Amino acid sequence: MPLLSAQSESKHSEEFRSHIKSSLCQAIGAFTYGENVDMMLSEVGRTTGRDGYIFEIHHVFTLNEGMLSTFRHLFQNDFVDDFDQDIDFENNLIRFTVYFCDTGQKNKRGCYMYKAFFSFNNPCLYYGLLCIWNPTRYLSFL
Amino acid sequence: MEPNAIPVFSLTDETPPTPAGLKALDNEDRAVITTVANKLQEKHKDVIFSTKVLPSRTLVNFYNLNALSIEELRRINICNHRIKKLEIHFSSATLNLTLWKKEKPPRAKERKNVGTNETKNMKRAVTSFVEKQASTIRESDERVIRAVLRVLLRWTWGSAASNVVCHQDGDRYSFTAKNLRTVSFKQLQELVELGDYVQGVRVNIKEKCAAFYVERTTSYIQENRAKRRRT
Repeated sequence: MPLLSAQSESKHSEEFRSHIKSSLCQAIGAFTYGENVDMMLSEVGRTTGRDGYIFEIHHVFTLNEGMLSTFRHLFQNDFVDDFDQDIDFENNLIRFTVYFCDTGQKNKRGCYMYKAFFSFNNPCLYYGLLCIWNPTRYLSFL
Repeated sequence: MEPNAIPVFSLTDETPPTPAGLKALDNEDRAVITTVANKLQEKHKDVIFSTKVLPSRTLVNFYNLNALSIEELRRINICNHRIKKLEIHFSSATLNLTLWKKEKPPRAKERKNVGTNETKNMKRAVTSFVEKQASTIRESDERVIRAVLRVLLRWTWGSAASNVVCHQDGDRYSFTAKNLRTVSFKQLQELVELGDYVQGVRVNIKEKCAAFYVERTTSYIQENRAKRRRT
């Protein structure tokens, strides 16, 4: 069944999704007591615009800052670009929209910047240019 | 909304709802809810509803609905001018109605500019879908199908992507959008307003999908040709 989304499923995003899911499951396990004993995680699906995934935590009857900060802490990863958090009081659920970053592109971008930085900061480049501009004057230093 | 806090009234019972439960509702609200409920009950016998009265608005949720057509929603929408929101929530399988008690304070409208990136992403998503369905979509109908898909994409933009099934049966394309979270009457209206070729828009709450047909007509094909000739 074709998905109407701008992003296609990639190997990276699948890895990230499973990683986030397992860490969320572990975190939920630590909070399933008292009124939140029936808390459960459900995967809603892929996002439309950016590469991401939507998770929902159902049957949340008691909410505290500690719980929210724990969940937020899970998304402070290298592969999580951004995330949104919605609390649906009507249906007693928390919805997390996690956007993944494209690690391949980031690495490439960093690599290009690194190369550009060193090539433009190389004094040999400027000395070479000076030699081309006035060879008699600057080649005499060699 | 806490389930215990909402009074739930059955419409199938011959006896009227308990007056204690209706005390929280105004006469106006009660009249609107009764009208809407009667309209729904014509087709859906087991429909029940719950209300929640807030200082600014009254929220009404209708349960036990199987499928709703755009005509039914249109009839509900024109019942009263105070109906401001008509939404179908697939996760809770309800039709949600919002009745505003007083007019909302006037607020400066912000014009939402869709960024170039978003437009590009939308275009890319639609193109990839059309390419996947190249065997079913004819070249002459591609423009119409793209417009329809763009509307579907706008419904789910920023939330979970929907699974769209497209079948061609003669001169008719049947579309089914699955994995939807919510659909409002306005969004459905937007789809219908594309043209006469979009027909049979209906929402199946039990199966959590919206289905409609796109009729292949000669009008838009000829329009396309005329435009091409001009250029």
